[in-house]
Amino acid sequence: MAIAPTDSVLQEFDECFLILDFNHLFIASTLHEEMWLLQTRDDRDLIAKIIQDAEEFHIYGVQEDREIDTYSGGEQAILGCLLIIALIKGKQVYNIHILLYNVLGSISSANRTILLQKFPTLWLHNQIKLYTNEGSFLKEISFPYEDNEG
Amino acid sequence: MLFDITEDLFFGEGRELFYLSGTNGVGKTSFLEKILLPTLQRHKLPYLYLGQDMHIQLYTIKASLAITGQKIFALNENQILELWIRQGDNATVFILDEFDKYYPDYRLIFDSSKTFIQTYFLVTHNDIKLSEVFPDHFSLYKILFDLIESDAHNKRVRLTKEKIW
Repeated sequence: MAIAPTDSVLQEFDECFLILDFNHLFIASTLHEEMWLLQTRDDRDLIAKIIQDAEEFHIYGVQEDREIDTYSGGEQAILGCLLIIALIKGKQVYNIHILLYNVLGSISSANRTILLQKFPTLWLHNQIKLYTNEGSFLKEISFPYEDNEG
Repeated sequence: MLFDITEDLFFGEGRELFYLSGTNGVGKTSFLEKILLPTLQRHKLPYLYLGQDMHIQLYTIKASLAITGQKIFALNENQILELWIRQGDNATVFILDEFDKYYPDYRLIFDSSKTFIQTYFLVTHNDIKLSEVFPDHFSLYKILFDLIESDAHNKRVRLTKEKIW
């Protein structure tokens, strides 16, 4: 198994996946700027939701204009995931495959459980599929809801 | 961030591996960067360090090997990493921050370095079953980072050391 630099991750997977790569989680320096880049508008409700959700992970003091690099690496990974979930939820966006690259390995097992519990509703309503990497191999993350669907 | 250290985190008595454990944001990397590394530098203890931003470090590792005349172009990243570790054989401390996120098997690290490294510091969130990959004749300690208080501006974290074996 090789360590894959981000440019090779993009080359290999960007046609099929929305990639959240631990080494390049954010482009902007604050959540507010990041949201502007992604949505080109202010959305106070969305940021308020992210701040509220972050507290489930015991991440306190999240602010829209706080420098992102003042959060720990694991906190940034969680915030990146919460941002994607908040942006997709309720939108007419379907059949996207999300790749969490080196993200889950930076999150504690307790926080990983909480985080993964947020994705099944996206699977149900938006047919989102979730993948992670183990080294340079990809693995789909399945959810219990899949087994219960008729 | 404030650390309450309940007992001396002394190392250097034999071969030891310290496994830093705790949830996100409790200061494991901050402890490495702001306490451990300056301490090693102050006492002039040579060390090897693989941080969270491994892929950026790889560029630096490749450059430093190339500058010392190593022919690295035919090597893959694993071979480069192994060469870099073996070249650092004057180091006695090895620090790995979430290394298994990039490379799930610690055997590369331990096999390349156990003949000269006396102390490992390891941060991981994965259940890596250390007993299966652990180098022989090392003692294992867990340093637990426990969040005691937190508000928007400050965190207070207690560190406790526990010998596993």
